[in-house]
Amino acid sequence: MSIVQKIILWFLGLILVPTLLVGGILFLGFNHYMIDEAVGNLSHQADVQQQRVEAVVNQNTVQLSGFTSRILLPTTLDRYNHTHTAGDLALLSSTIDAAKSQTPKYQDISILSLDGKVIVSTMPSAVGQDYSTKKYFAKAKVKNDTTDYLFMDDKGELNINLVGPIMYQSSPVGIIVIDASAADLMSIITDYSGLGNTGETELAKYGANGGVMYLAPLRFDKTATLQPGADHMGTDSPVMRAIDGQAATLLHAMNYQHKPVIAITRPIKGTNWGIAVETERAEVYQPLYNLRDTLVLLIFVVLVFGVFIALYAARLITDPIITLSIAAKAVSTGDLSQRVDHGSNNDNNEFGVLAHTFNTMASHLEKLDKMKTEFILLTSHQLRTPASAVKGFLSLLLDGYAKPLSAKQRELLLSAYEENEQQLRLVNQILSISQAESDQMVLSRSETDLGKLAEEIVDQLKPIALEHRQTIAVRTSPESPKAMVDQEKMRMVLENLVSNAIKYSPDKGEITISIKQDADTSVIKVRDQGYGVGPDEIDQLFKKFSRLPNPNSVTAQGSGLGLYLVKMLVELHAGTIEVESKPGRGTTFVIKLPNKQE
Amino acid sequence: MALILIVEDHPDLQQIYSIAAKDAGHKILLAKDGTEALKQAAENTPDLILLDILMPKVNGAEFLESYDLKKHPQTKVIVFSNMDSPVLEHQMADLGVNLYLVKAEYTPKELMGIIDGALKSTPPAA
Repeated sequence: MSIVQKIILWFLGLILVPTLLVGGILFLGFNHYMIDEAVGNLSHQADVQQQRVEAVVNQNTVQLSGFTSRILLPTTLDRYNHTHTAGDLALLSSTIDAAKSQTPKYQDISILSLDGKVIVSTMPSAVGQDYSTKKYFAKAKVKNDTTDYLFMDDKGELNINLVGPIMYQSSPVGIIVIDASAADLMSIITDYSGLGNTGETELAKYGANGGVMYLAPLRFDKTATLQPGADHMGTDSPVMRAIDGQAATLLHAMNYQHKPVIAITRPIKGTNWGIAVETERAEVYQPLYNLRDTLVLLIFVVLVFGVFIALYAARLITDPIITLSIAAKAVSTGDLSQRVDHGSNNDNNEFGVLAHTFNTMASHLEKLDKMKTEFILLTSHQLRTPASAVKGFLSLLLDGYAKPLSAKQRELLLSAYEENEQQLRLVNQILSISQAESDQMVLSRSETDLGKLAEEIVDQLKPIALEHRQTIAVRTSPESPKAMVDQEKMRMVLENLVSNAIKYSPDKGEITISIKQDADTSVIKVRDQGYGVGPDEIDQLFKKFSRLPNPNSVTAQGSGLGLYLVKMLVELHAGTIEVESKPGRGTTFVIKLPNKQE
Repeated sequence: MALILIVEDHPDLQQIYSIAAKDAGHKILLAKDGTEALKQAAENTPDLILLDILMPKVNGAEFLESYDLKKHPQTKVIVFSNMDSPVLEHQMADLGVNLYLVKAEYTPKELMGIIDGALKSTPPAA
């Protein structure tokens, strides 16, 4: 993971964790608060509604009892039952007329005989009719009932029959039937104030079939009123609990619309009614959902800003690192002239100090590198100059500039010449290795006839081979194999390999240089019939200053740099060199070179 | 036979090249640094200058800058130095020298062969 990614992650973590914590606490706290508020409000509404309904029921009962227990009504009725006088009938009629006019909610009042005949009524058409089939009749003979007989009138208004016996000296003498408006009850139930958009009060009792029967219109289903067992609200609806007498707080209930609600239930004292005051949870939770949406938006905004701020912060740190890293990479690949621009703004900060240190270090390196190059150049010059003079003098002598030489003189001078050449080769090798190791060696590639180059080297080294009666042969394909190589460097490679082959071969040995070529690669093999090397020694061959014992010579010849340099030069050409050898069975060096410059 | 100016600060090397050049039938002029070389080259018109690089006072490169080969198209120059550096070789090429040889790699006889070849080559177009 990159530094930028890490910083962004840490930064987001730093921002997100507290944001989520605060948001979560706020959300949960608000959740509890909302529920508490909703429950508190609904409970209050339920208590009020309960009291209001109970007040209506109570008022109806009190008014009915008050009316039937007046002394005038039972005595007049009892006397009329015995005498049937028009005077008593008129008195009864005026009594109910007066009661109707005194009590606005009373629509009509009728007095029935114990066998159900209408004796007198504020509705003249009813007089003489038989009400013994009315559903309230049997009960009305026994006791007052002000709750069981709600009905809808022709105008669709809610009404209620208030019925009961008219008692005289502890015996019923007739029945009172009051057709009263239940508008007061309806206005209580349809009062949605304080209940929001979905809240309502349900007033119900069990219907004839045991299902719930709503006694007043529902807010979202007006048709359900007084439908016996309109049981589309489940078996455990809040209102059913109320009818069962429970005063409960239900946080997870379903209403008649099968919507989740919070409901408060209350039984209505003195009746088989119950009320449920409820409101949909969705409405209760709406502010919470709004808060949640706001929090999500806030977190998103925080995230986006966080990413940008983190990115900015990360780049403040990583940009200088990247700048420094690019410069360091360039230096590592040999470009010591690289410097980091730290700008005046950064002079005093950590990066400025680091950049300054880096630049100082690069300057030192560059200076040291230059010193090293000059040192190598001058040292090789100084080493070569006396050797050149020795070479020059010996050459003059050998070429007969002084006077003809005897065979012995010539032999001795040749030995001195060869030793001097060996020293010059050593200087050349050291110089080449130093240049290659410090990446200063530049290949000067040209199309080179590898066969011709091999022949030249053979010509050059043949005199030495002849001393040991060794033969050197060059085998190439008929068409001259050509490759883009640095001719002088490749000459150095082949010179080293062939001269090694001569050194490490017994007398009369055969040395072969074979060159093969395909479209991409040239393969040069230098094979000898020498003493060979074992597998353990092969690894040592290309190491610097590694010299293997030479059975031809008591003291090991060579500097131990030749094969090391050969390998460097071949690899500088993007080629490879391998050795195939077994003790006593000769050695083959296999060089593979790309024909073209990569 | 040609007139060869040998510019070489090392007395032994100067002696070796002189012997070889004389033996090859050339006339020689000697200079042990760039200042002397400039003087000799001005007073005579050498056919070829065998030029060392690392010398006291005025070195080989400074000599070439002052001498200006473009003004002397008839004179060949062989740089003959034991400084083996691609940078120097490029610098010499920029100054108009085509032959840059490392002293240690040639015998006096081989050098004379190269000198003969250089003298026979067509002079560059002025």
